[in-house]
Amino acid sequence: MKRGDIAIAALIFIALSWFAYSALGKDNKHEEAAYASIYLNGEHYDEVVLTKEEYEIEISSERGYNRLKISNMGIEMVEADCPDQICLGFGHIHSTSENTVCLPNRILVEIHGADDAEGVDAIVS
Amino acid sequence: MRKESMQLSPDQYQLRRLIIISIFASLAVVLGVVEALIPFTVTIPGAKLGLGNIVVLACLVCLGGRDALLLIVIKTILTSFILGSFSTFLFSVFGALSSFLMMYVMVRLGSKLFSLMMISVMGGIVHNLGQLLAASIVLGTTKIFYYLPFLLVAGIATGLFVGAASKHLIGSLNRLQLFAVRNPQS
Repeated sequence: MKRGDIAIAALIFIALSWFAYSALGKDNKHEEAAYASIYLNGEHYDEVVLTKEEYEIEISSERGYNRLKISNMGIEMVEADCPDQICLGFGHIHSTSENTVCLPNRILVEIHGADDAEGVDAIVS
Repeated sequence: MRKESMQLSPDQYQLRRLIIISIFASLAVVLGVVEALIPFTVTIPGAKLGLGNIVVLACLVCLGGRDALLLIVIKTILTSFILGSFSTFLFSVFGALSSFLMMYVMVRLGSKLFSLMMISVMGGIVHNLGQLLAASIVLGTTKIFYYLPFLLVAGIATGLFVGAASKHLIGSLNRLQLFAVRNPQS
């Protein structure tokens, strides 16, 4: 290890422990996931209720086609026509502030709790 | 160290450089295509091994910044053509350029200060950071920075791998004495 190496390694260690600390703090005030906000091209596209029952929604835009499946109080991207298929790798997300991104199709899905003020008047089930 | 290249006329030296960059570029493109076949994305979405970075780092150390930049531009454009991933081209370029800039500065600062491993690790981290930044600008949200810790760890892991591989590559290239090394690694 050289002088610069040690400095950078220390910085990385501090950053990682800070992330670990804030992640542990978040678990204590865990809130129930209730809604998923879908953003298309940075704009609010849809708001869905997360239920135990399965249902699917489809998104078609000029950029491409995506299919999302809601089940077991969570949401999952099940089909996309993008070349990299990274969005399918996010899997089933079910806790607050988790999200799924499909960059080629510019889609962002984010989960939030019931007490979030944002978009409660725009629920589509 | 530079004795052999001094004996060549400037034209021959330039030709040799150009050929080496071409070989490096084709190697980087093949590694990029091979990498796309590995389903590494299941564990951490968006994380990649960054095999092409092995060649970029070797080029940066052996030939210098201008040639490495040329190599990156060729590599990114060709890989996008072959994989047909032009929708994410912007993110690739942003990640690759920010990673290059970081590694270039660290190489210029000298091998006394930074080891090749640390340069590679920082390259990996900054590559992920650049892509995340570009994605957050395009999507108009900072919410995806939720993945920053995961991508940071991924950057360190792939950086260590790439660093070890390029160390071997640079060692072998030095033995060939095809070109002089600017920063001989101790």
